[in-house]
Amino acid sequence: MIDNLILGINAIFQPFNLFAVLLGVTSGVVVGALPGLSATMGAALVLPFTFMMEPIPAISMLSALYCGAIYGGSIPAILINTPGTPAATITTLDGYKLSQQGKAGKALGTAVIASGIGGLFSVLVLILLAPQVAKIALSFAGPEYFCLAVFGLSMVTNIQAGSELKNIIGGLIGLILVTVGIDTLTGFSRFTFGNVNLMSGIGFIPVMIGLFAAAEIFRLAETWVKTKMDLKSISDLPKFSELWPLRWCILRSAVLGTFIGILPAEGGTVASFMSYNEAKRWSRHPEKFGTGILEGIAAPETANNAATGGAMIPTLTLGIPGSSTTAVILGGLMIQGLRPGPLLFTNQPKLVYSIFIAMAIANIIFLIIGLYGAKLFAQVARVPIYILCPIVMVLCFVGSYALNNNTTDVWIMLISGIVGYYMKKIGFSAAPIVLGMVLGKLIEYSFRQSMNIFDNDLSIFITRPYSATFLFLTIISFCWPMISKLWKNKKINR
Amino acid sequence: MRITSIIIYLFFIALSILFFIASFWIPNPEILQNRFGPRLFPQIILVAIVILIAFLLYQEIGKPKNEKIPIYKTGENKNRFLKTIFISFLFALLFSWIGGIPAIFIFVLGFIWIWKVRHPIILIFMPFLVSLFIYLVFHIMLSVRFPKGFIGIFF
Repeated sequence: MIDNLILGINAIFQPFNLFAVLLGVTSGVVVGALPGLSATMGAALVLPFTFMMEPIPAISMLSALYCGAIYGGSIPAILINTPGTPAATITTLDGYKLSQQGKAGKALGTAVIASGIGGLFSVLVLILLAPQVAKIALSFAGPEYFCLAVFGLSMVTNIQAGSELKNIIGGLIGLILVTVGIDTLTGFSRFTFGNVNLMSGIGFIPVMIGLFAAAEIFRLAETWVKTKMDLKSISDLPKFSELWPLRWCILRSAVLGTFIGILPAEGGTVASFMSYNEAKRWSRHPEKFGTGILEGIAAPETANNAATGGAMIPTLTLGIPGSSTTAVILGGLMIQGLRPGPLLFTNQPKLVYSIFIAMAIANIIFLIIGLYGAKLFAQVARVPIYILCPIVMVLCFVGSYALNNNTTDVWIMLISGIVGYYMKKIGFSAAPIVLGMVLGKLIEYSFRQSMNIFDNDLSIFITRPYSATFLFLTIISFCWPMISKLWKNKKINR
Repeated sequence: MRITSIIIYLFFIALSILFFIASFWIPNPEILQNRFGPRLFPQIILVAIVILIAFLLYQEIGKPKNEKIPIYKTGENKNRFLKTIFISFLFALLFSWIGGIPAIFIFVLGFIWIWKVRHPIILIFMPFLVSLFIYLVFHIMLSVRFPKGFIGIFF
């Protein structure tokens, strides 16, 4: 492992690769600081720029953007009560209160330090855990992959509380979308309706750009209103004596965030909400949460950045995205002709360890630029929406076209954007659809291959230890919303 | 909002049924008769989608008429939203017809006009700068070949 780490360090410290990381973090913080642009949207928009790059700078840039954007989301959450990314939603509770009290600098400083520690902790876990997971995954065959992918998909039920059924439907829609095109096992075309352009299938990238970016622009077109920002109190950073009492809260949130990040489909949003609740539960003064205290910022910000490293574990070792942003990174790997999974660790150790190092450096970079350049990044949130939206929309069009130089992808992106807008309007989330699309082929083909090899014997899924474990976890995951409801009701009755 | 939900659910059910019918056109050769062929997986998924959406539809119809789904505010800028959709469709059409870069210029100009920008400098420079940026970065640096169209031939 040490040899591979040195290999990764050497690769990342090449001038162009280091520049790619710096560019990734900076654009990530900018994207995160702009309300309405999420980390996923940023990664999807930057993806076309990576087409012509070598794999190491390309994936390092995307990973660095992911880290930067999750931190960047806290800037408008604290300053204008509008989370830059969904993962920063809970930060608004105490962050904006502190800002109103003239302590915006303390809030921003705590956010960047907590984010940096959370991110670095998760990268450490990633470096230690990912190779071990990859080693186990090397023994996986069709049945294990099928059960694992179904388990990954089952996690969508918990993406948005109260919309479990909608999340499942979203996942199924994603599964059906990937069946369009040529079936690679038999060579027969499915649902192409005679259209040659659909033979290669519905591209995952245009759909994702449409669902995450274009749909958001359409939403902004309908709902955007002007907000004001106070930048006077930004320079006043927190003192060491103010941060030291937060050490256990930060450590607890880092562990929780990393663990939640590892779970497929659960990203920074769930991690930040859960760690905020935990911080409140463990606090000596829970009544102060929501009134403007530093713990209320440290907990969610540590957790959402810790989730970035955690989410990379299933993405790189199993090819199952840990969050919607890592789904884009997964797409980026595929565009580079690489197949995420355990073999990536054996065949491309230099790339894998470069990604680890890039993420660690990204966390250090945003820690520095966040502490000294918060005021500058806060200005980004002031960019007029009428300047921002057309640029993003043009990048959506060009990005989806540039992948295959095909205008059909532009139409697919546009239709996905409109469908995504309306689905969001009635309470659907885009993440399950994307996850369904990412896992669809793996689910179908591993199932069919398993059935062909094992003579249609369904019992193989429960007789093999790993697949049985994943199936058991799938059942728990599907039943979890019901279990937690029963648990809550029982508590209330008591 | 209730009506919007019902319409969307009905649309998805109709689309799923259409796809389910279309799935019978997927060839299923004799050699795959006792195997899981290319037809079965989409059929299972489509049936599951129809059942689950029908359940959502049933829930939605059962809701009291005035109950609101907790979503973001709508209606304030409905006109701007519809115009944004229109200009986006127009762009997708113009993209191949008049060429990539000219379509981007027209799109940005139309977009900022819809968003009530009337400052002449922004109206002139922004479409120009965005088009130039896309041309330099994507066409020159990344070698993306945009559709030429009848104006784009000059680019």
